[in-house]
Amino acid sequence: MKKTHRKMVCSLTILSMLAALSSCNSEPDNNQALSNAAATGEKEIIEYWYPWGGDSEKYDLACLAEFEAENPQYDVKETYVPSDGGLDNGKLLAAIAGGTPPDVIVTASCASAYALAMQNAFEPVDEFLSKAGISPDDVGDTFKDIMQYKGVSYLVPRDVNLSSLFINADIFEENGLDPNAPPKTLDDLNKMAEQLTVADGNNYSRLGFIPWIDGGDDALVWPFMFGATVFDVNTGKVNLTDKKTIDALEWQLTYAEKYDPEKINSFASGFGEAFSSDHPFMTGKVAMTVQGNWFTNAIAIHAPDLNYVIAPIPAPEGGRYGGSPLGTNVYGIPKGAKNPQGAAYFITYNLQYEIMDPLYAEWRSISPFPADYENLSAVKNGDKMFEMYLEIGTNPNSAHQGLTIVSNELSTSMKEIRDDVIYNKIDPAGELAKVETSLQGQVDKSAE
Amino acid sequence: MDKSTNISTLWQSIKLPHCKCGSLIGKILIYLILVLLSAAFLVPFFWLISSSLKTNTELYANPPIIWPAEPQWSNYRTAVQSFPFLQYLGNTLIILGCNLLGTLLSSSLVAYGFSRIDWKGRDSVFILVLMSMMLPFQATMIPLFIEFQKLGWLGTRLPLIVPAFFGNAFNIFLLRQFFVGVPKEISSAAKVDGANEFRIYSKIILPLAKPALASVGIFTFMRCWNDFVGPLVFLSDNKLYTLSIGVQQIMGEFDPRWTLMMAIGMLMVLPVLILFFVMQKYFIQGITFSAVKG
Repeated sequence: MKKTHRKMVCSLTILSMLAALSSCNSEPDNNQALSNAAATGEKEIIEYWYPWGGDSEKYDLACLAEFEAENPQYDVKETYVPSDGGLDNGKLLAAIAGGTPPDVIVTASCASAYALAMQNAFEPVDEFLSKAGISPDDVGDTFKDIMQYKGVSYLVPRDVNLSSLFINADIFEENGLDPNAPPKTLDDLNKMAEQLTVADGNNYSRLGFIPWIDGGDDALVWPFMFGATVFDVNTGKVNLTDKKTIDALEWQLTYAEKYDPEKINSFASGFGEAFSSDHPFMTGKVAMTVQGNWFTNAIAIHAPDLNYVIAPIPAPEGGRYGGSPLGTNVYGIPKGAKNPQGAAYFITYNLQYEIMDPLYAEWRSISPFPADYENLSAVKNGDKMFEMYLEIGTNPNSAHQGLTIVSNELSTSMKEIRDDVIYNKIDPAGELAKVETSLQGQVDKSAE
Repeated sequence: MDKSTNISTLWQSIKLPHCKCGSLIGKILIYLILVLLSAAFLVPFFWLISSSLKTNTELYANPPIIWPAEPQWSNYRTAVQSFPFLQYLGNTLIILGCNLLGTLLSSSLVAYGFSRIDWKGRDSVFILVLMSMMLPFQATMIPLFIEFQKLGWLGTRLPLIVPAFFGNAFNIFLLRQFFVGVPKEISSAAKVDGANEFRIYSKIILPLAKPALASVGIFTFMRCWNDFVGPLVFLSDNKLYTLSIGVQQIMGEFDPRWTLMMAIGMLMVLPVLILFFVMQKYFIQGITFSAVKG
């Protein structure tokens, strides 16, 4: 009896295993499905990878459903691919190498996408876009840099995020400052930061401004605002030893020396994240900060009564006042995509202002297509902050920064140097020269 | 000497010498050290539980809030509703079950060949197998991807299941170390009674190796349960995704929703924890044997 029972268990186990394996193999092969579709006049498959979950995913999937409803000839096969559409974790490269890339990806890591575009991992899209009804000329001048490499379009900008100076209007007024006359130069910023800082014994109860928190944590932001161009896409030259980059680091050093970074750290230890009501700007612990447009929505959710204004990030003479480093969500058609034209139609559909408008209105990201501006609900509703972002985004001083094949290494190295400057008071010039040589070597090697 | 006595004797011989701390103070000191060391592991776990029950504001409060005034049990409900939790759990369990079966069968069989059967070049091949442990997944990812693509397995669970039926270097090593410690006389006696190698493996060695098999089972469980890159790279359909990917799906483009992440993190830790407590006796025995013998 016992033996029979064992045999039965064993047989059941094997049967369930076979069932599991056969069910595994029953998933349709996409290439096969696509060719079948073509042969039988069935729907064209568009394989689409997207990187976000939560509400962003819900919005994305709702747009996708609308596309399918309006274009019944297409069947979009969507796949969630964290954290950036498969750019940095190797999924996309493996798929390209294996000949099974998706037809289109969208990612927030525009610098990584651009680095891959420079390495020929994306299809040139001008022809596909042209058939789908988009021309690079439709894209605003400041957003074209992320789109094209050596005059050829590889990526398509979706919504553009940019940075501004957030000013706590109540704190300004309490200290006799006019929030509608924000700092424009670094001298203004430094003076106001000093005036708004409140010491509490040996510590602080409020800091006027800290250059390296929030948006300033990206170590490329201040060199950009000082006017430096750390990489020239056309010549392939890394330039970290530019005086403007050194000046940007030395300016941050003045804050470290004046306010003591360890004391700032102690003060900052209780700072909440951007999406919490304990964020230092929302609690009034920091009077001014650099942050992205999306922070306006975080404030609307977590500190709706906060009285604040936004302004362009201050910059020194010769810098990029009025502009901002840009961070754009981009579409790309990976090399070897089976249905690039279908992907281009899908992209074109999603870029329509009617589709993107709710996103722009909620997050105040801006469209890369200036012709859309007058139709956007935020503009029609007279949203002054949105209009400010449009001004900043279209200012000739705005650009995407660090667009190089070594974008990740550049970003990491610059942050290490910045932290060394702030905490260890090192001379930045020597370190910048070393990193410049190293990164230039990598760029040259990849160009061989 | 029967086999259980033999194992028991072996076990006794590898026990660490007793600390001669007869006095009460000595014992208190030892317990104090143990409690402190335990705290180092328990505090992060406690923090995970506490954070999973906080509001966003409480999560970032300064000074930190040890335990939320009103625990947000709804975080768990919201978290599991943020992505297809049950579907992903089912997918994870299918992959997990197949991996457990495949790994235990194949690794033990290969380990038996490396430990109980003498054949030419055995040790050299064993070293080759061990060397495969040194290759990071990033190095083998693209060749594996292409291989699975040629086999038509991409987008299915097969790349995550079938390799388990071909052994795993670490598990083979672990089991081999255990098998080597079982006296050869047992096999010789069985052979005299007419048993072939497979019968000795299945009827004598495997029953003796329960602790080592339990260890391999727990390691396999943890590897599959937490595997993020494998499912991400080889699957291309949300419907087949596993829990480790689902954890990330909670995050929006701008809002990471940490409290919900903590809640899912807690739900993912629980099964591993329960499994460890249920199997810890075997697990510790298995690790100890495998580590000492050889």
